[in-house]
Amino acid sequence: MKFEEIVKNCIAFPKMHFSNAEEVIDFLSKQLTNKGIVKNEFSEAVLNREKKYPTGLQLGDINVAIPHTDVDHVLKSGIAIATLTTPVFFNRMDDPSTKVPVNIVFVLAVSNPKEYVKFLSKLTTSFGKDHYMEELLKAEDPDEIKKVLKKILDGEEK
Amino acid sequence: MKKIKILVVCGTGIATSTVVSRKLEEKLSERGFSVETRQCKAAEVERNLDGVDVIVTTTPVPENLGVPVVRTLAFLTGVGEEEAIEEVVKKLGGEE
Repeated sequence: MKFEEIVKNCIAFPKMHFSNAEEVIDFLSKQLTNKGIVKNEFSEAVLNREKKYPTGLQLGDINVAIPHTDVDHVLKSGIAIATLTTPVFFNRMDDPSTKVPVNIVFVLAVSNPKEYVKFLSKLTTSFGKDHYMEELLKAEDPDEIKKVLKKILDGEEK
Repeated sequence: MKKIKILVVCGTGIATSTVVSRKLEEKLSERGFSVETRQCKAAEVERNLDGVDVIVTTTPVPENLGVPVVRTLAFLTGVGEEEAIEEVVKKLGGEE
């Protein structure tokens, strides 16, 4: 199980404020670069990909986005999470001409899709469970966000 | 039993389509289907249609591909998963 490595390479920023999606993506991507998890050009690659294939997921009261890009720009598997005090608009993955107000952004650093899939599956399945998303939004510091992430990964849900 | 070929499509053909593929394989084999999945980027759908019975995608794909398309996020988020499986089975022409 590679969950440990991804959790170790998890950086979290609770209660942040940004004015738009590009700002959040750029901020989180650069944090991943600073940690040596992704290459310098990762931010630009994610922003370009988001324009063509947006990642906003309309779920209900709490909506999320999962910006990511090709493995070429990634050094190690990891994830950067920001919870937002004010939602920013992302275009919808399933309907790119429509926007969705997003409360939590997960920038995914995928170095090996086969290793990442179990982690990602657990994570995306948790999006449909309001209590996990509410707990993430309530978190006041990075460790609390990581604790919720661990809970999601340890959960029974596939 | 005939093996069903599903083309699983997402923006990059990397992250979300891998999750969707595993979920489809699991859910359809529970229903007695023998499934083979292939993943690709949305921009490459047209050149990956060979032998494909149904396309499952998280993002829009061109129309009139000649293959049934199910566009859904259910296999990603788990929301509405049973209904989405029903739709895939329906497009495949019913239960095995």
